[in-house]
Amino acid sequence: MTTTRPRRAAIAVIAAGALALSACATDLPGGSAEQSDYPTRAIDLVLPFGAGGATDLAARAMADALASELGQPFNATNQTGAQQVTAVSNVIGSADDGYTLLADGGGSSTVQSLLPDLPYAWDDRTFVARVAGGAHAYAVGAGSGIATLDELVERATSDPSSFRVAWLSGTSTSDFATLQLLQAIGVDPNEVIRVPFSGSGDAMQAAAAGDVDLASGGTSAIASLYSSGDLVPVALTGADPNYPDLPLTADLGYPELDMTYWVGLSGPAGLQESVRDTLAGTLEQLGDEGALDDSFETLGMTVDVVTGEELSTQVHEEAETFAELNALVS
Amino acid sequence: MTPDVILAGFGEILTLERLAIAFLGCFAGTFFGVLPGLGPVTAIAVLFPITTYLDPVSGILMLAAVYYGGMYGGSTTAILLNIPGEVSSLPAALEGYPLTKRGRAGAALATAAVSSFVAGVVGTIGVMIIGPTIARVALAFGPPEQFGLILFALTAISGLVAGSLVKGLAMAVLGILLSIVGYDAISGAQVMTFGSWTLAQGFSVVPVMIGLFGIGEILKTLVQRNADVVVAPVGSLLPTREERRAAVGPTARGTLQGFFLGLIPGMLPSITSFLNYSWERRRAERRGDSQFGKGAIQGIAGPEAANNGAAMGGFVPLFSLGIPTGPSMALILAALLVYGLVPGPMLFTQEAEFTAGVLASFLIANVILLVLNLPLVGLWAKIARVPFSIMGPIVIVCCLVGSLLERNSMFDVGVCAAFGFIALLLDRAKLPLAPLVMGFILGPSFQETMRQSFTMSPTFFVERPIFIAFALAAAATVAFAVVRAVRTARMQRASRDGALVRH
Repeated sequence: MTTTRPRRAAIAVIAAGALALSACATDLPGGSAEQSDYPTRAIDLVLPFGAGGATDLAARAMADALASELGQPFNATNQTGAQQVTAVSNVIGSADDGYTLLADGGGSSTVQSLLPDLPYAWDDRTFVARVAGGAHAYAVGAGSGIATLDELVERATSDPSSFRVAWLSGTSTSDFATLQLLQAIGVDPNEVIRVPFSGSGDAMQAAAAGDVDLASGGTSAIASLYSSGDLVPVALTGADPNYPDLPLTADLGYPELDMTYWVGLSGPAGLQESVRDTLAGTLEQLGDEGALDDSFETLGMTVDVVTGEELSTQVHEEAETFAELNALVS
Repeated sequence: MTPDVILAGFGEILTLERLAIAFLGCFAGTFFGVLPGLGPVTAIAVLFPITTYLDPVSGILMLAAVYYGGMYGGSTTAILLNIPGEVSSLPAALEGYPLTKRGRAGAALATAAVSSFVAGVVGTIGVMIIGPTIARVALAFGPPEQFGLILFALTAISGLVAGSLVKGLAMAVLGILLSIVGYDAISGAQVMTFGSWTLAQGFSVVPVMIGLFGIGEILKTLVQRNADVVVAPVGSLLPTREERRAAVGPTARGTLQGFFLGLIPGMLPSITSFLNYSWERRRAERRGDSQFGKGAIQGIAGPEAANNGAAMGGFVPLFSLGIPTGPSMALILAALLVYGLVPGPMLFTQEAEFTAGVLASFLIANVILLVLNLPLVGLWAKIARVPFSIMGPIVIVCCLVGSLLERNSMFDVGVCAAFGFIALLLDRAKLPLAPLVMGFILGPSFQETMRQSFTMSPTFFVERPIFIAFALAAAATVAFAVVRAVRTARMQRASRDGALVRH
């Protein structure tokens, strides 16, 4: 009796483990039924970023609106890590029936165009729609004595080698916003001190504490420290309804400082045309009705649905801009 | 906050609907936490989308209840099955599991529940009193200060090691090495990935830890053959008078240490729980009656209190400056964002009603958890009596599912299984697991803050007084540990020589 017991237990353990693994691995069979009444079942939406950021919340708002309009649930799952490459390659390797989609953005598309050894062509996917965009803020600490963009420019140009900027490893639109500024004022980005941070929240905190002289980031990152008076946003790269009083770069004589981040929807390459049209049409309609405005506004984003050929051109132009800016530092 | 605002907060919370939400949250959190392999961060991440449908106070109440419930539940599996559902219940596993084997599971569970409760309540009152006044301490902690803090926290490793210090350090270094596999957050370069995009995801702490402890524990039992399948007696559920007395001091110290350390960005509750464990252990060893490693009630009471105290302290920088001190706080920050509530000093003035309601809800959640958990201690303790042939498979399934849930990656499931076997090998070689986990958690911030500090100013180490203070404290701790180790070795040699002379 005593000798068989552990063996029986061992078999049970292995069986249970195998069962759990197979349960994890099983995917719903790709229904190749007629597509005219798409969607007929739940849709998996992969979010290539962690839960809780502004882009995550925006993507979830988009998924909720789509789900209630199309009458099928959107199961949003966060898949993080490896510069969003894992999540994107999972989606573009899925069936093109429209039941696995990607909450896309600059980080998962155009920024990836700069990665060496990317295991797929960065634009080898169907861009369905760009749903909304958000502006960046250039921010300095309250203790820096700097209150305007002009004063910041003066500080940067007078002694670039002691000018410290927050840097997110060159893989974020925030970094490209910083590079645009440095390029516009004729400061070599290789000359300034780039202090590394892993997120724009940390970067803003460092600016507020005076540990860096400039931090750029999406406007949702400045909210708290601006309201506490520790952070001074000297300019925004675009309008944000939450901050009607903050000056815009275009009004300050720098219209070329226009870096925005965006949230949209993509699918595998060769996504069936009827599916793409359904999704794009629904998003366009939601945009026209203003159904998305409220949830995106609280996140500091402006809804502006772009689809089709126009979107494709826009995305490729963005990739070119990033490549040019990236060349400044490498 | 003035008393009438706080009372208004209680008025806000003490409705049938809110109490029901708090109860549901506590229950769901405890349920997630009790499942081996699942902890509070997973619980919050899974339940997060649901809370966005509630009103702001209810939503935050639900999240906080889930978070606390997850922490209570995580300690339960740590004590009963030696599987910490989250990193901060690791000390509870180190000391609680031996107690379970001795039939004192009930006492260990009750101590964990009461210490967590005390720290939760004191911490909430602390947040109410302090409010935004000292939140700016968080801003004084830039990269160099955080780097100093991490140097100091690394010294806690010596307190986690039972035997050889060298083995402990080696395991901590292994943990640091494992933590840097993947994409480097700073330079964007791939580190030790061998060109594999799968490895570029890096190792995530949840699968590694539940593999090492959960799967590893099951494999160890299997290999032992019919050795330990003997069912542990449940014993008296309540702590004895002696155990109660031993828990008072560590609970009080843990609460205070946890709360104040929790105000600092980068100070994860798990780090405070490790630090407190190491301090309590040293304290007991100095007094010469240490039960640490064999089931010390102090090693449960202190770290559990420190963990909860830090979780509460973290709300001060979160609410007043929007600075999250860890991943759970970041999710709660996101919830505030969904409701259009911007953390800042205004949260305590213009939105005082909301903030008072939330703080009152923390107190209520702590009371509900205590009421929910103390009567359940008897039930949980019976889990320790479930035959291994039934419990083993359940644990394996839960661990594998738990490792998948965190970021929905099959790679993590494989990692979890692999680390189970690694734990078996390490156990054979008598290498301790706890320092590996500690190195794994501190590794990334150690690297990041060090590189940030040197970039900001190559001579930061003479410019930042707070960094200097931490560095000196760390050096003193190490020196003390070395002196003690040398003295112990000399004394052992002397007594051995003495024995030889007598022969």
